[in-house]
Amino acid sequence: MTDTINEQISSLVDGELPDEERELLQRRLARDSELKETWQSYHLIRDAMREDLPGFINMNADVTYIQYQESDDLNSASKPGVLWRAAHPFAGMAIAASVAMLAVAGVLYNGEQLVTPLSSQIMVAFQTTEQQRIRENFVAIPRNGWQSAKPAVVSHLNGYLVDHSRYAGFGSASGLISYSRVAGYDKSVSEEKLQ
Amino acid sequence: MVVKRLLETVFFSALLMSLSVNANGNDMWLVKMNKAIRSMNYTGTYIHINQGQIETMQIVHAVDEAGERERLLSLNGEAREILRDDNHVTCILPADRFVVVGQLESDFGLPALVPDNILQLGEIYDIQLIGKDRIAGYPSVILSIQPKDKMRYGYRIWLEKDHGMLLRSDILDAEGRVMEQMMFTQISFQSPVSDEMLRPTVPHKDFVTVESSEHGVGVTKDKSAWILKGMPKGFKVTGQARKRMPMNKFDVEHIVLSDGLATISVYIEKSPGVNTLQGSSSIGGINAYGRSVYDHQVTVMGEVPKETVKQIAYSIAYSN
Repeated sequence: MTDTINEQISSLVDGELPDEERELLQRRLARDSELKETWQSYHLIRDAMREDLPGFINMNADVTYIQYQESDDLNSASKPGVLWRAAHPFAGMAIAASVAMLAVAGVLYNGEQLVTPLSSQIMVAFQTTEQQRIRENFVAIPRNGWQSAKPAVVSHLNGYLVDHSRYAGFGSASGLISYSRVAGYDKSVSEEKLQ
Repeated sequence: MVVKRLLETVFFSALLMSLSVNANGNDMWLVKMNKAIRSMNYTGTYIHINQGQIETMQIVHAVDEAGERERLLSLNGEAREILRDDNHVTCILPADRFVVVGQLESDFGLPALVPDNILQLGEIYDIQLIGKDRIAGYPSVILSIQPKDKMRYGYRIWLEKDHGMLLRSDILDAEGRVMEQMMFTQISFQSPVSDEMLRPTVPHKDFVTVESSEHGVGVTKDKSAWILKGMPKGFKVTGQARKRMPMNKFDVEHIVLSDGLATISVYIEKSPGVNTLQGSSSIGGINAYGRSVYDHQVTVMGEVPKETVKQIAYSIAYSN
């Protein structure tokens, strides 16, 4: 798959592909499963970047059916999409097909919704037995940062969290998860300034 | 640096030989993983799911004659960036316009998978190969790591089958429910990693830089006045230091514990009187417990259950 087609798909997802290119690309998408997979992947990445994905993803879920509508919005000039730009310098490396694993993610949100549209274009449906398993397998954890801690205490704890991450071991995948906590929770870190 | 890399290679080779004789084959996957994460060049994107929040992270990791270097960039919201090399960590936090810089003295506190630890893991964890899968396009093996008591978490990890690189990790609570997940959605090995790719991308010229200094006292050198009595089975002190942290006026004593997989930090500081944790708190898989001891604040934090951090907090005693 060429960089050009990747850029076009990214632009399509971003609604930035001109009419004439859009029509052509949609015809290709209809008959090319690899392109279709990339298109789905881009949608999911975009949703993840916008934090539009639901609370938990069960990456073990068996998906029985994936349906999508080729109804991306139209817009202005042709240019590399946001996803494409964000992915650079990695964009040259084709986004692995397994990104689509996200597309087959079983999704549970607040323990209630069993069929969750990952975006308005993608619907993921699940087997009933799997739904039950998902419900049983996840711990309901609130979205906030440090639980049961006052804001000033949170600031203190965040300082320690940054420090502790430097010594994270296997349990934090040797730092990957640990630093993700720090970077990901900058929202809470930043709310309470380090003094 | 070259000598260090050579020693690491010899160390890992010796470790693999040791394990092939003394442990079941499953343990070797952990050694391979530990080596792969730290010694391979890779670039990729992974998601981290925690507390109902999904973060998309971009990582560049390189190992060369300059040592081990890494750049981690959050792709959600305002860009936050973390840069690591052998002995430095720099966190760029744009929301606060802060750059937090930390420095490590040698390998203080790093919970290395040393032979003793690996061989003792079998006493506290049940490690099994439970299947095969495909993650980020790479064939993988799935390893289940179940604790034999309730003092630590379990893990399910997906390792690339040739090199053992960690591609996915689930942290499980005592009931086997997923608490926290990370998974690569795209990863590329052996791609040339240029210096450019390791430079910070988040503008931070006008940010305030705060540094945490560290004075390692060594586990066997200066004796600390603080001792730990009755630690949970399998945990050992792997490092101890006095350090000045951004949010503290005075030095903080930091003790690092590890059971070979999980890591726990104990921070002891002159009690500030207010704004200290009394009791439990948590963030995802990380639990913390705080209490006052002899006019000092003790805060224990780690990727272990809350009962474990509490037990350690109550095992702290002043020896003078």
